[in-house]
Amino acid sequence: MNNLLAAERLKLRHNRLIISCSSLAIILPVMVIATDIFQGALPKYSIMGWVFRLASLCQYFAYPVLSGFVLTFLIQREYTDHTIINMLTAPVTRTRLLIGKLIIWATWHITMTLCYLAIVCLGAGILYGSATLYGSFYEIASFIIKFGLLHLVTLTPIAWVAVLQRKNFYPSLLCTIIFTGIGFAGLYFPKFLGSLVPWSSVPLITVPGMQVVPVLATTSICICAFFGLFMAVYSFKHQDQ
Amino acid sequence: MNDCVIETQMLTKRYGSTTVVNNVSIHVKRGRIYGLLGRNGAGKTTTMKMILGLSAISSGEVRLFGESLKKNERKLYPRIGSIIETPGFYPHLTGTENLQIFARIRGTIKQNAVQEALKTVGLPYDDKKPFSSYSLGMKQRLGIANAILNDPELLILDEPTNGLDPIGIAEVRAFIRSLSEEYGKTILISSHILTEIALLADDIGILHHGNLLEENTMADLEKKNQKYIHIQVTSQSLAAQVLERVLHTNNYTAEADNSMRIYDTGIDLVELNKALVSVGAGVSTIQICSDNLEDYFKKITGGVGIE
Repeated sequence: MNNLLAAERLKLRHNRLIISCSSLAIILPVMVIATDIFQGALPKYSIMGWVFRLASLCQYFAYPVLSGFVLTFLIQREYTDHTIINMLTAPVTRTRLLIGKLIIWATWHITMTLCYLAIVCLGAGILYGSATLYGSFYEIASFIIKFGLLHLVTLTPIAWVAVLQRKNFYPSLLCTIIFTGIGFAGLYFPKFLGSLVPWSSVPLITVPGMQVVPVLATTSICICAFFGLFMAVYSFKHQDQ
Repeated sequence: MNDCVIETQMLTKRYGSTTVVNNVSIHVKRGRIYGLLGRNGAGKTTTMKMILGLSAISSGEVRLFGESLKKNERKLYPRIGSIIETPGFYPHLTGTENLQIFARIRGTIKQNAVQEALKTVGLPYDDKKPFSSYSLGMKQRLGIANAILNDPELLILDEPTNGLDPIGIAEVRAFIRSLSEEYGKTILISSHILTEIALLADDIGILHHGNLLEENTMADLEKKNQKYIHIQVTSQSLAAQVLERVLHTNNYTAEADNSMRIYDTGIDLVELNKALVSVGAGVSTIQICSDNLEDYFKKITGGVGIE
């Protein structure tokens, strides 16, 4: 597995798409925070209110789309470049190959979440002062990390779609946008329905004070993650090249 | 002892109700070049993909190095190098970087394997040119370099000369021949180009509509090929009269360019020449020939040429 991960890392050298997605993931919160800073006055929200407001743009919407884009690219590129055949005849077991891709994707997603956390903390420190930041740091960090990780696991069905679509790019991107849309709309779903759908469960379970059935929400997220992972591996193992 | 490096038994591939490979049993012997010949869509690539585990087997069995492929993939596949269809590499990386990736995946190869493989196929090491700007010939060479990266005992090459110019084809052919003769590699090569297979292969398998019609050594095929007298005349009708009325044979065929094939090889060439000249048939060529691989291919596929 170490060799496979090293090979995946080598593949990302000079890769413009990964660089673009990473840059966007960093630039977007920086620009929003910079706007808040240059407006001069202290924001009208509390520090956590400001974090949630920022998250509604970045973590609810932009990051899942960028993450889906990266995952799609990692898988689909092997089909379009015909490298999948060289990989499989290297030989690499199909499960390992897919798991390797998912690890790289998860690493990217977590790294971006941590970068986002750092940017948010820096912005909060400038806007609200270090004392307020220290007081709320645990709450901010746990919200951002929990949100990032739960979003990551609910996006695993994208891997399944990416395997099935082979050379196409759009079906998995469409799924990403649909999942993101559901997640966003989930804030307005009734309590039970919102908890039943994995993508809407993520904001409901993460944002404090939301109406949620915690057991149902956690179960639906776990089932979604397991289902996505299982179907991606199963489909890839049984796919003719 | 079974000396077959590849042995398929009743190998079959079905897509729904369509059978693309039907009960194919091929036998590739150690140290030899086996040419899988067939028209486009005959099932050559699918057969190779099934051997390499890229495509699921509907029924039948594959044995590699005397062992069943089932449950032994991880042990057997590292002993194989392959090119299937177009060689696939990452377009934004150089040839060296691409090979480094596949070397890393293989894990257990020599330190300077990438350098040696590139040198063997005549590509520069540490070149700054990305794969996307390689010519077709360079891409094929890089594909071969990748196939030999782990010094495999068996090479499976699917149309390795596809898209190459005549000089490139000759170079690749010479290289494949040297892999067999100098390094003792066993090679399974597919092609729809008859001359390619005729010049390279020691053994041959002819696939047609998914069925293996013939499996034989090239030496046996040459023996089996029918002999005939080839003549080129100015008038085929006059020559036909001579053959039927003077030499009493109708075992001949008229070909293009005023040439004819006389399959009654008992006819004396001097007598034939005299008879043709005497009626003014204008003989420009007269010689004994034998069927080539294309004729043989046509014969066993029921008259269908390969191109």
